[in-house]
Amino acid sequence: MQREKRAIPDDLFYDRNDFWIKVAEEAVIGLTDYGQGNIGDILYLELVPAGTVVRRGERCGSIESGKWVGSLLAPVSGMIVETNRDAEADPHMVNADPFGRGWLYRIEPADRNEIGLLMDSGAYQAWIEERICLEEKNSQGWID
Amino acid sequence: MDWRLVVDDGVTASFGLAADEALAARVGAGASLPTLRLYTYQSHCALIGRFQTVENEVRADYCKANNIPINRRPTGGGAIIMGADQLGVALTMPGRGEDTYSHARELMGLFSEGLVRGLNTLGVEARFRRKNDIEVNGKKLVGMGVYRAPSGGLLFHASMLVDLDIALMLRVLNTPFEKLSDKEMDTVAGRITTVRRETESPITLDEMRLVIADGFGSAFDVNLISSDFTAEERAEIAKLEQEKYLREDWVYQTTAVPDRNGSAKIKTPAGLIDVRVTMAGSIIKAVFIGGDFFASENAVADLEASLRWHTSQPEKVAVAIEKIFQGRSAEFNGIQSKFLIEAVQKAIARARAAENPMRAEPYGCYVNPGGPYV
Repeated sequence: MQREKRAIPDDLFYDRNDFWIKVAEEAVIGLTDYGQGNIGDILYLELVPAGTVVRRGERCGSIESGKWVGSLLAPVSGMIVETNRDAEADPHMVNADPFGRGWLYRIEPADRNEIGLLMDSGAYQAWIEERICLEEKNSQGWID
Repeated sequence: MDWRLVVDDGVTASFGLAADEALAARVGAGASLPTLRLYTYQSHCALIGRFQTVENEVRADYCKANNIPINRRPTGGGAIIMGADQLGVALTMPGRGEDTYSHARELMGLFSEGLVRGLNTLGVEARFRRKNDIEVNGKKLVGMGVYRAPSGGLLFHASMLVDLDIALMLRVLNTPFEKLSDKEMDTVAGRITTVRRETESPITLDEMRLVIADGFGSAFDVNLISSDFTAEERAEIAKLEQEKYLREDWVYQTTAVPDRNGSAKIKTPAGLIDVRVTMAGSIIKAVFIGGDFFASENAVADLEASLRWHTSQPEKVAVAIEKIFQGRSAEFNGIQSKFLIEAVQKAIARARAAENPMRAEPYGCYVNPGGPYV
C-alpha cells in the first residue's frame, strides 16, 4: 500500500472519527486530510440544520462516497450555529481543501471539558500510524 | 462464530428497509448478533439511493397508478425495482470503530466474496467490480452498497437479479425512452444479466438462498443459524418504519448536489461515437457509450462500468479508458482509444459547464443515462 503524507496542523484538536476541531469561542469542525483520503471522493454531504443541538458522538450528518454511506458524528456536544452550505452543494471541497473551504460546521460547545477528551496533533499522528499499521496487517488486497 | 440467518418474503418497502437499518444499529451496539438476511420484497417497489431525488429517478405517476411504493434506502447507489424475483441481501455486522472507512471497504470485498462464491457454485462466473457491483462478463448481476450506522454497525446491501422484468423496470424508472420498443429492451438486456439467464434454469429464490447462504458461510467462516426477528427487534423496526420509512419527508427529500448532464458525438473512421455522462458534482455517476460503431457489448459495458463513480479529472479518465483498451482492444473493432477519450472528456466538460444542473435524463442502478441503451 502506498502511503500518502497527510497534513495534520498543530493548531487543531482531533477525534478518533477523523474530525478536526478548531476551538475558539465557537468551534469549527471539519474532516481531516487523512479522513477525507480514507473515505475517498465524496459525492454527497448532508448536515443537520443550524440550530440543532447534538451530543458528543451523536449523528450530525451523512456522507456518501461511491456507494458507501456513513454518519458524521459530533466530536463535541453543543448547538450547531452554521453549516457550510457551499460544501454541501460541492462536497469535493472537503476532499480538495479539508482544513479550509471544506469545513463542515460551526458549533457552540455546551461543555468545554469535552475539549480535553480530544487529541492534539501529535496524538492524532500516532493514532493514524496505529491504524495504518492495522490496515496493512489486515489488508487482503481490497483497499484502494 | 455463529451468525443468524433470517429469511423473509414479500415484505413491504418500508418494513424491509427499516429492518435492515434497525438491525445495523442494534448489531453495532451489541444488542443483536450479526445477521445475514435473505429476503424479497412484495412485487414491486422502487428503491432509490440514499442521496437520490425521487422525481429524477422514478416515474412517480406510473408508480402511484400501479400501486408501486417508492422508498429511499439507507445505502447509496442507483434506483432499482425489487420484487419476488430479486433477492435482497442484507448483512449486518459490528464495525471495529477505530478504522471505519477502510475496514468497511475491506469487508465489502468479503461481502462480495460471499455472493460470488454462491454464484460460482451455480456455474455463474461472477466477479466483483471494485466498489460497486458484481458482474458476469461485464454485465451487471448484483448492485451493492454499504451503510454505517451511528452505533458503528455496518449494513451491506445487495440486490441480486435472479430474474427481471426489464419492461416493467423501464416503466418504473425515469428513463428517457419515449416508447419502449424491442430495440430499447434489447439494449438494456445487453448490459445486465440475471441468474436465470446465466444458468439457463428456472432456479427458485429458495434455491438461490441456499447457495448464497453457503457462500457467506464459507467466505466469512461462520455458521449460519436459522432465526427470526426477536420481539424487541420487531418493536424497533416498527418504530423506525413509522418515524422514517413511512414518512414523505424521508422518501421525498432532495440533495444539495445537483446532477449534471453532458453529451458529445465524434465522427471517427470506424463510426460515430455518442457519449453521455451524468455527474454528481465532480464525480462521474454514470456514462453511456453508444453510436454506430461495431464493438463487443461486453467491452463497452466494461468500459462504462470502469468510469462509474470515477473522478472526472481528464487525465485520470484517459488512464481508465486506456486500461480497459489494453485488455480488450480487439473487441473495439478499430475504434481507437484516443477518440473515446476525447468524446468522454468532451461530454464531461459540457456537463461541468451545464447551465441547468437538473438532470434531464436520470439513471437507475441497472440503467445508465441518456439514450436508447442501458
